[in-house]
Amino acid sequence: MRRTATHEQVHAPIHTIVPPHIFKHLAGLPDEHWPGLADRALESMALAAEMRAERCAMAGVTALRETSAVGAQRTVFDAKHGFTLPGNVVRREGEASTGDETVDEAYDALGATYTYFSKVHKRDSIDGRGLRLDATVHYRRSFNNAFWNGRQMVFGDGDGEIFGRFTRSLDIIGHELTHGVTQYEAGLDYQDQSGALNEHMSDVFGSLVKQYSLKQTAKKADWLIGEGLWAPGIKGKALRSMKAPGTAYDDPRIGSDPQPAHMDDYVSTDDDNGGVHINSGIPNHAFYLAAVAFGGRAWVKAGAVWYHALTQTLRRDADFARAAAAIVDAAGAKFGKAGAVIVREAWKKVGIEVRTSTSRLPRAKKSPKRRVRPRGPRRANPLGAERGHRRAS
Amino acid sequence: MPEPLRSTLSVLVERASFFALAGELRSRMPDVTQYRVRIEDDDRAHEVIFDDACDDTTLLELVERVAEATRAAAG
Repeated sequence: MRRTATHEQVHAPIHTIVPPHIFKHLAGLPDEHWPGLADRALESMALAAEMRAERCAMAGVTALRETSAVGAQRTVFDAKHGFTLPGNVVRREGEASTGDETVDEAYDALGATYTYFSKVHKRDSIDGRGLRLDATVHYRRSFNNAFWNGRQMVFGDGDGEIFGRFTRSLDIIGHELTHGVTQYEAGLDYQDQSGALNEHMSDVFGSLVKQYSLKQTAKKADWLIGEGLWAPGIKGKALRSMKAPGTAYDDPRIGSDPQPAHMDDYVSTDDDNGGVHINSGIPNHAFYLAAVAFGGRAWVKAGAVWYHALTQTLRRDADFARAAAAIVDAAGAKFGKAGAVIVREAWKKVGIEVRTSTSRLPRAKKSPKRRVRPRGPRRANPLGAERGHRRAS
Repeated sequence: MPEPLRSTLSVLVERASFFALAGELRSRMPDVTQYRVRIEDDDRAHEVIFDDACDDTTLLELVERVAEATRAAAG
């Protein structure tokens, strides 16, 4: 019997939290300079474009466990470097810290994310219905990723050469959990511009979770995604920068940050599901510009506007132009003409003009009336139709 | 392919019923690592695409063992 399963036949991330272009760069490095790096990168190489298939937004989501309890219900598990999820329970809600910094970081970050969505947006967990927040740490060996699998968070420890442990970054955990929120709300297709908007929303709320936790103003915030993830010696601040897309890292081992900040530099590619981790730099920068223009704390106005669009008006197949129009519209609904002007200007600065007139938009009200659309957007999740009722008490 | 890797992979391939699996097992979840594994076994060959959110841990173990072997072979 001849069995082969060679290195070349094992590929990897098409959309990990670590952008595929980083793995591509690593894979092309000469081995004599950095032994083993190229091999590990190849383990994590992006799949070819022909492997793309039409995305069914809710595929992979299994039955959810709900809780009637009020407040976060966190459980952290330890996979002990194995493959089986969720693993052994190591910390439940309300229990004291374990002394394992990875366990405790995960526990705290889940709590910070829950608190952000609950306090700021009156949302009870990822699904708006109190979904339990489960997380597994120490998953596999030298695993360079963190992801939410539709049921729980999963964290790798990193390989120590390129990445450290993934629990170090609060905004990354907020980012991943926001993918869950998006899935239950707009259900943005994970391909091309709608996919970049999906990534963008995760970056927006990942950053806001961190800013809220640190009580930072928009001006003081670092606007970095994945700060602290790089292992020592890597020349980089983070995975992405919303303030200055394209400047997060520049290192011979990992390449340079390819994110554009303007539509003039939009990257057309079949990799990375159409560049979802690359072109998200454009809406990311628009959000940053809007948040700074609004002033104060970013979650109060800019975050409220983007959340409104994500949960009320964005469609799963939205492109940048439609998303910008929906977000300008949301700004008008929440903060009147002045709010709409700020957001429209932010989009204009990244090369997306929104021509919708703000003259018909309602003035800002303390409790803005929910706009009724003649036809509801197509939701990824049938529960989306009820989402107006799913709010934290 | 040297022993004991050959035996280990054979066990995993059998346990996963690899040749009976559908070729497409992706979860479509964001930010998961995706893998494509192709195995040739005498007169048959089969390829499966899956990702980190795959429920079949045998497949994940298979890809990790292959990766480890590749690293070891590379020195």
